[in-house]
Amino acid sequence: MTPCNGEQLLLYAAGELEAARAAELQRHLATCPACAAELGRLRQALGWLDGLPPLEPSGEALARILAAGRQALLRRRPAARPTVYRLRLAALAAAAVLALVVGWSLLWQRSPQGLTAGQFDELWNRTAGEIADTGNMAEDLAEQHAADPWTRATDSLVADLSRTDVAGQLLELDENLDVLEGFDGG
Amino acid sequence: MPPRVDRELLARLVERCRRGEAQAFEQVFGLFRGPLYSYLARTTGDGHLAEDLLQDVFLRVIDNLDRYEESGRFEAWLFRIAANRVRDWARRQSHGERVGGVLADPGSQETLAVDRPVEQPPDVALLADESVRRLEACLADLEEQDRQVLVLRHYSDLSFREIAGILDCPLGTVLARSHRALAKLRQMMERSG
Repeated sequence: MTPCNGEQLLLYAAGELEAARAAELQRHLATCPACAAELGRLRQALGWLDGLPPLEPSGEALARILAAGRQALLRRRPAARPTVYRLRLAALAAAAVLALVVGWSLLWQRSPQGLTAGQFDELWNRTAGEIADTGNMAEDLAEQHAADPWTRATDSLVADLSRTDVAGQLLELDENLDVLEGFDGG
Repeated sequence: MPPRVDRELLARLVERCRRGEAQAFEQVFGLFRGPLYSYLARTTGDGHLAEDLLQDVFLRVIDNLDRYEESGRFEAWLFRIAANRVRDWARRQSHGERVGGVLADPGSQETLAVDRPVEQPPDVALLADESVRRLEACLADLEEQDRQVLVLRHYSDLSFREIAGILDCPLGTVLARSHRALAKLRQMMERSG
């Protein structure tokens, strides 16, 4: 190592000089007043910098940066879907299951009157079929959700909804149940 | 100097950020926003600009999380991104934009020193300590490249060797700049004292 080297002194003053070189420099410092003085000046200047306080951005900037960061993070999520999709999926699945449960429950409770046996059977089968379809849709959704929480389940639900009229089916189911309620088994 | 960050905690936070967890990002932001902003503000001399650069840095961090290799220090990667933004800013300044009210000489090889202390955003408290004010004024008078090395080392907790890697220049160059900057700083402080 070349003695009287300002850069080596700086590394030493910063505590970043490797041990072997540091030991060699220490031996040199014991015999070189100029380097010892320079080391003192470097330590003094570095000490001044230690007193330099940290700065903080404004509150407005902090809020802005955090909001921008959250937006950027949303783009990172794999096959991300907004929370509202998940809520809709859950709500529709629950509605389908509810329709299944309520429909069967009402059918078992009501006494059909005012229909012929054939009309009753036809109505019963159609109603049972609609309930089954609704239940199947709910089961399909549950399976697809387990396999791929976001993409397939949502896409499937959208496709099913485009082919079916859930509200209309529920209305028709309700009407069927009203008829069944007035059925006279005679 | 920034507070020491637990390595394992930081690694977990970074992984959670990769998964898009906002809370993890907020924690990482909280850990490093002060040192990063301080570096950007003291290097550029403009607090408002530093806020914009700070946002830019963190958005780039988020967009490039998959490129971060955990074998290296996260701080080094973070400050490298910041230093690159400062370099881009300095290049724009050297192409004729006004700095501190003085038109830069496009043909000059030297960057202009910022001729005013850091411009603080309105709601940032001003420091009352006279010695610190003198130091800040003297720092502002250093050439940008020299000032950047000192400020980067102070706020990043990185070694001179790591700083050389961040700035893409030899260790000897970083040490020479730092040595020269410290000597000038000392002279200015003694004159102003």
